[in-house]
Amino acid sequence: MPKPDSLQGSLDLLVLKILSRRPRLHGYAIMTAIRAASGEVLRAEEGSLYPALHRMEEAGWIRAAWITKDTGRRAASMN
Amino acid sequence: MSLWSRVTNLFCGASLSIEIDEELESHIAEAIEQGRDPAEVRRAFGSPLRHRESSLDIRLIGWLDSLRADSVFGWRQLRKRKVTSAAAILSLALAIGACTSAFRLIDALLLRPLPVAQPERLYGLFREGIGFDGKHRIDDGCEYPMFTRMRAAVKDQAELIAISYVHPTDLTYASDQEMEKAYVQYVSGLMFTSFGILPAAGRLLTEDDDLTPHSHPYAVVSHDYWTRRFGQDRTAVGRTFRIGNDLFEIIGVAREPFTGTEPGTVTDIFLPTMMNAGVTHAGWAWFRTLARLKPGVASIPVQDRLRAIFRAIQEERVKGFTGWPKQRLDNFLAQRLLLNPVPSGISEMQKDNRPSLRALGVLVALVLLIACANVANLMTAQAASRAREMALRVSIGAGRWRLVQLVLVESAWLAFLAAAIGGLFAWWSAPLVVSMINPPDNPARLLLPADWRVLGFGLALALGVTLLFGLAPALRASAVRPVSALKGGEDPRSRSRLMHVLVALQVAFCFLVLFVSGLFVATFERLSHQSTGFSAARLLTLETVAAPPQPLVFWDQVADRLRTIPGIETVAMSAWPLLSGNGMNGFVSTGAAAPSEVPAYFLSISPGWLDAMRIPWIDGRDFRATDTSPGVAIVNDSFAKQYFKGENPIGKSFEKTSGRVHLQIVGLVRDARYRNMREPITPTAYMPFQPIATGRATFIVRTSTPDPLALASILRQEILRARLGFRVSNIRTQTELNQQHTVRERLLATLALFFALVALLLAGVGLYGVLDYSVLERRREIGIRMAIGAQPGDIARRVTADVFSMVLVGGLVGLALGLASVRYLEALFYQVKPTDLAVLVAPALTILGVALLAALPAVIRAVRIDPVTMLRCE
Repeated sequence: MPKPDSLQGSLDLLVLKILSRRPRLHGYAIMTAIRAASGEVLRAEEGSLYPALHRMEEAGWIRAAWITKDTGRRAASMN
Repeated sequence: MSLWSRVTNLFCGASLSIEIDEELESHIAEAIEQGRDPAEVRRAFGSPLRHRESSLDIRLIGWLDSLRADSVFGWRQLRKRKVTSAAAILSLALAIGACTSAFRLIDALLLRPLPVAQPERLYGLFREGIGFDGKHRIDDGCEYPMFTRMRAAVKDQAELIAISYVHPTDLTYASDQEMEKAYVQYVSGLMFTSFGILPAAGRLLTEDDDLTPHSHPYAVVSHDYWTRRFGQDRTAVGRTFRIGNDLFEIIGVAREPFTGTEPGTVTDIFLPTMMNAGVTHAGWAWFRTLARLKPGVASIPVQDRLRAIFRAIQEERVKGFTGWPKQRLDNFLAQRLLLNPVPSGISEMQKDNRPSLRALGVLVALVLLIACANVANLMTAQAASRAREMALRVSIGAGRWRLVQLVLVESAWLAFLAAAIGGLFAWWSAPLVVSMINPPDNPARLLLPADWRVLGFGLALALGVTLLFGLAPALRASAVRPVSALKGGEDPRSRSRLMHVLVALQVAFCFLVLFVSGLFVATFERLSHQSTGFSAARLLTLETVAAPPQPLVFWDQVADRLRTIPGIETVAMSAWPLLSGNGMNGFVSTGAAAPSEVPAYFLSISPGWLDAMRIPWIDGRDFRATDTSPGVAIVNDSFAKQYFKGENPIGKSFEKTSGRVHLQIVGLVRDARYRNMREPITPTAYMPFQPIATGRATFIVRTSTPDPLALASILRQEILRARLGFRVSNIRTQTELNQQHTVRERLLATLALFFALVALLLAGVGLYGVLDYSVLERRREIGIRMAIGAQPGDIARRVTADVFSMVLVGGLVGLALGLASVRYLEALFYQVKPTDLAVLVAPALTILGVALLAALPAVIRAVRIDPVTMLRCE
């Protein structure tokens, strides 16, 4: 179960804002983007980003697609 | 989309986890790629397992997933113990099937509302009072002139509808030679509009068909008849058929599923009431009155209004009665009108079978409870063997509710598998039971739809049963204390206590079922061995119609013709056969005395009829061809006892008060049953045979062939050929007629016996299981006892003592229940007293026997325990 977290709503907003500017990012890229945009001030807790992404996906706010990265690993990109 | 994907994700949980893991891994890999320290990355990321779990909870519905996991696990548990599971499922299936089957019958006959608009506004008119036989009774017959007055009086509050009793009637679409039978019902034309029934073809009867007696020769056929007789041919509308001398035209087909208002009978043809000869007779009660209240009208004011009219009419009628005893006149006037709700219609079949179906319902419910107790015991025993597993689950963090769910889901598996098999059983058995209710000549057609009502009942039953047998073991399993259970030291007695209570319950219910079944079987036994006073062997009854009515000479000619057929021993005639349901009664006065309180029954018979029926003579002579009716009579023993104080009545005379006929007694014969098997034999007077206005009479034929029905078609042909106008309407053996009076008792006895056997079997299996389990639990104790010198007898006593005291307690409780409940069933019994020693002892002995048998394997197992091995292995 998602833990009650006052930051959760703002995390959702941040992610959506970033994705609206630069679609098709994967999880790690989103995290780096949040950090960069806030000038290293906001560090989204890395692990909790994924449950939030999955929740938004189930709610239909974002969609996921698998892409193959240069390293050969697969990652889900969001838009 | 969201909910659906969360549901579908349930079934790909494994691949979903892999996917999430992969995503998380790729995140970490990228972080490392970016030059971060792998250890630092993993620390910053946190536990991937936790993230995966919380993601999974989002991607699918958590509780549904645990339910899925539990049901997979439960299924595996069932598969692991194939034999016990199968036994549990089968015993439950039998019980659930029997319950569903009983529900289908009770629902179809008694509960299901008629398929008409707003059945809850449908009321029936009944009259309550003291009947002819001096007993309290409720009648539903009405007379038409009274109906008209009532209809006019309440026309602003209610629509009154006359609907006749359904009769199988002879009719023909061509010549007399091609007579066929159809179920005919006379109805008010208003019925169709009032019930909101639409035509499937043509038009239906309307209020305009209720106007003039004998001038609306139209017929509406039911959809069922249209399908069976005409193959849904639209040209059937417009065809004509003849009943007696009346020609009717089919004007339409009533739409499905309406088949009349008598559950148990399907009406084929609806005719307007105006076409029934009874419309003009103030004394003929030939139909039921249904009232459809208008919206917003309460039934009580309407009933009061109808009562006032009823009372006025009764008082008018009573003035025309002559020769009635005073008491009877008072009884007649004391009748009260009732307006009762009848959303599911009214039929004789309902009235006849309501008490027996209720009794059966209770019996099957008891069998179900026994089966539940059985399975509950099984589950408790299993919960015991799984105590360690449960304790382990609790200690690694499973919640109490989670464990309850685990056990309940397993129970639900049992219940729903059983319900599925039970459903099949009910699907097969309910029509079978209906066919057993049938009197042979009047096949009941009870529509048994398997629709949402039945399905809903089955599901509710399965759920209820799950809770009934699953909840206690589930709560018990969840209350496990891990510390003591894992140490293996939980108090084993607490479990056995629950099991012992269940055994006592089982035995109590089993005793009740056996006790009641025993009474039913004894009732059937007594009734079917009831002496009839005549011999039914190889006796055929040929109900014959002469249209137009023919004089006596011609009837005699036909009888002579029948006597020439090879294989026929004797032929005689009577107005109707004995025990056929027909009867004529009236009051008798002897000398100048006032008419008797007890009515006598009358039957007109030809010379030789008494010999043909093999009713023995006491004194006097048979009728002669020269005897005419009225004038002489032959009476039975009861008649002489009732009216002549047992003196020889020959030569004396009596008066039949209706018609004021004087009859001189010329013969005295032994008693023979006239009306039914239950009542004491009625005083009966036989009178010389005289063809009656309806043109109907019955040839009694005793054949020399063992199977009298083999001659049926020859006799039918011969009567047609013997003389123009004569035709056989119905051929039945006298045995059939006799048996129709015990149909209900036979059904009850057969089913009750069956349920008693099932109950006994289940209780036996349950007892065996409990004993076996307790021996298993106490094997260490037994081993020690034997090691220090206990004798096998002591061990056996010790093992069985608890359970047998429970059997005793259960038996006593069952006995108390039985004695308390038979009061409600008394109407179904015949000449059996629930306090008879035999009916009390038989079930007790049977249960004791079964208990001993069930205890045997466990006792053998206990005394065979080898103390050395037992103590060593512990």
